[in-house]
Amino acid sequence: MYGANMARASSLGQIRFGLGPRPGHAPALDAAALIADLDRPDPAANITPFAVRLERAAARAELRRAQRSGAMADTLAEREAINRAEVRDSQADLRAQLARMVAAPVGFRERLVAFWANHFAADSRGGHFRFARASYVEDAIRPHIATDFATLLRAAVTHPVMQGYLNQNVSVGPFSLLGRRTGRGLNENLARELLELHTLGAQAGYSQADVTQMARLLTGITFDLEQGYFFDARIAEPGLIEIFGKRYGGRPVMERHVFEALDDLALRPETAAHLAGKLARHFLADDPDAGLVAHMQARYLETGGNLRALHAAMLEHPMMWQPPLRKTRAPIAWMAASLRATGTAPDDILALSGRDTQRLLRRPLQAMGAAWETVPSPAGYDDSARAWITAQALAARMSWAMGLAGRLPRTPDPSDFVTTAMGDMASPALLRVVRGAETRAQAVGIILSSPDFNRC
Amino acid sequence: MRHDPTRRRFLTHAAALGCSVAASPLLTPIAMASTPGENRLVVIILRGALDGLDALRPLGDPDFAALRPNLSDGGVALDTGFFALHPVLSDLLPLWQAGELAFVPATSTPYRDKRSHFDGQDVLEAGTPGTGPALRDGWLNRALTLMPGVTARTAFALSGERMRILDGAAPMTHWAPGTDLALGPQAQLLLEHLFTQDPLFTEAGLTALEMGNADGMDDAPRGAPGEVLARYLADQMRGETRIASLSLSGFDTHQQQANRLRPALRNLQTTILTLRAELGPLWARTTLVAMTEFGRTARENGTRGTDHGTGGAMLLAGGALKGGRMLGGWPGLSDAALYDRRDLMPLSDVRAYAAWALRDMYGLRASDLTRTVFPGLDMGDNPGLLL
Repeated sequence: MYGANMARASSLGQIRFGLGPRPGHAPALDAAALIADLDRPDPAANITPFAVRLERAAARAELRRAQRSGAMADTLAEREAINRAEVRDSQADLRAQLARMVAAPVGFRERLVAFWANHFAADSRGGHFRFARASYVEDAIRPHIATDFATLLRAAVTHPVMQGYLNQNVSVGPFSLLGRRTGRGLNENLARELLELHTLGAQAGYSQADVTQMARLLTGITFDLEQGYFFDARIAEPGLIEIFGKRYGGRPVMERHVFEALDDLALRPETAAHLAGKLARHFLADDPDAGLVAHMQARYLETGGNLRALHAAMLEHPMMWQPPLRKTRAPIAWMAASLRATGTAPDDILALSGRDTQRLLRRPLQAMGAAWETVPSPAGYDDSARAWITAQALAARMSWAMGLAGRLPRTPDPSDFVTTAMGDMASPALLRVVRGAETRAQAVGIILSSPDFNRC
Repeated sequence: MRHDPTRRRFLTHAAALGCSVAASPLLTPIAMASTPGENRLVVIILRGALDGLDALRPLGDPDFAALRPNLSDGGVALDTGFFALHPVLSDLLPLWQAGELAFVPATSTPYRDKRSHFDGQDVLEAGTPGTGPALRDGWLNRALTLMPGVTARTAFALSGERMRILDGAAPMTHWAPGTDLALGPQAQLLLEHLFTQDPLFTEAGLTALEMGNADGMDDAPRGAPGEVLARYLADQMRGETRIASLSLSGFDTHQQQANRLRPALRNLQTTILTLRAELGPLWARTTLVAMTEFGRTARENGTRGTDHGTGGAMLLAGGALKGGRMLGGWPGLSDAALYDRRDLMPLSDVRAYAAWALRDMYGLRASDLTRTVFPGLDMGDNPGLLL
């Protein structure tokens, strides 16, 4: 029964590691094929570059200054025009991202981008930028998911969206040039989350003193609206700063000192354990096998903190190819899986009007508990299987699934559709129920709403 | 009345499908749970920073009129002789006269100086002393963890968006009334069957089916948003729900405040009056508190609005309230009395009033309240909120 097992592994792989099958595409799938997918060049998508968000933030600030100084009487109309463009681009970003998820051969890359974007959770509400999370993910996360973790770490924590979210840009070394003159001081927010969430993990046993030291070392990392990220020596704390027994810094203050500390954090065994455990919990189960995590952790450390190697170590472990499916699809991943299964063309998604983007994508995502471009906290979305499955969120999924099923130009035969959507991973209960539906569209909606299809 | 249509419907449907009803995990918790008592608490989050000085106008303060040349015209005088309600809130006057309405005119969360809506709301809902890493759940959820017999229906967040105030370890239900599933009976039946096959989906799935289809909201809800929410909430509170939170928005009035604040205040008033009417005799067991992330500048700005400030007003209402009074004192509006020479000076911590309400209504201990629910809070003197 070798062939049957292969087929099963293939559908399991598409659901567990990817965004689910599409009609007519049933690639034979194993660890090597998934890694090969990751090694292919990333097809470009039209996500608003961060530079545009930065320019608009600068323009808004300029208008506010002009109004305050009396140079312009009322800048409301100009500012509203900028904000309308921001909203329009954010909707276009959502369409572009979803279309890319639907077009992906398997979607492993998209799943990894979502995982690492949640690991480095940041959004731009309440700061200088509006709707800049998609741009942040595109610039700082996406290009770095198969390189060294240290590269990803550096890109994420220096990005203006992350800095704004965790107040790094207002942190000033008390003994820096500016600190001594103005009396301004440290903000520890980024330093704390860097240790607790981004690298070592909450279990790692570091102290408040370590957080403070890290915050002192991070000073100088800042941004402004003209150039984005830069290292500002005038606010960087001078002198040697000891973190976990190693001294960093010195005079003159340099960006390199901060990056050295980040590189060292990336290679600590606590960081390896934290990242390996989190990745295994995301793709396999809330309580992954300790042997699997140890295997991933060891490979990470052997390869100097390489993420491609970490992902490959996970994929090659036999445990990762065992049913049942024990996790649940995040809202946008579930939406993408539904659109893939129903054979929706990526171009149809890109062609949605602003109003339909709002009605069919944005509002439903919010009702499912993951509003586009927002994160609930620096810890990101709760990644347990249970977290997405609330009454409100399930109602939103059912409602959206029934709507999609009703709008399909050609409704597929339910028995064919359950195979398209689930491969051979459908439960006997689902196969039975599908035959009991009143209409084809109803059957499609029920399959998309079912526990089977919500799992991954 | 609809106490447990799920169970009834589920019984018939399960029988039709030939499942074992006795094995349904839905049946036991509802039937057997004890409840955290009969008292009901509603927390309304006023998003956008309500201008307390406009909702509750200190007409007796000698500095008020000069600070608010375009925003101090009249109001409904209260018998304190000092404050007047915003004209749009005139229908709340009978509650004041009946002792069912009180205000804390000058209060705030511990959040200071940055005046960001998002951070301010985070602090308000987290119940923490300030921003920063600290707690990632909400104070109302932490209060639930201290109560006996809490089920998912004990607490309700009525919102399309996640409400941090009720996020956390204790079970709760999150629902936006008006979510219309419009499933036919057969689809409903088949989905119920599927959801009971997977324990992770059973409770959430059956609740979603029940609420989305059988909540009397099959048509798009009519009426003001506050009225829709309040009617739905009253229905839940006649059943098992004891604690609920909802948010009202539209309070961020930087320009033309005289026009723009009106609908938001009217919505708040409608919410309160609808709840009172719909709850009937249960209003006597109900306390409602309305709080906002921070107040607004004491001075009107150049566009006849107000900007983000510090101290503001908190509103309390309910049949069990010892109302008809102002709580927590008044700092005055002279330049020297203002916070930072720009904002109303807060004289108390909004969390203290929420803590006393939780203590009086659910018997929570002061030590638990100041450790678990509101870390680091000084509850101050007992304001004697309830009758």
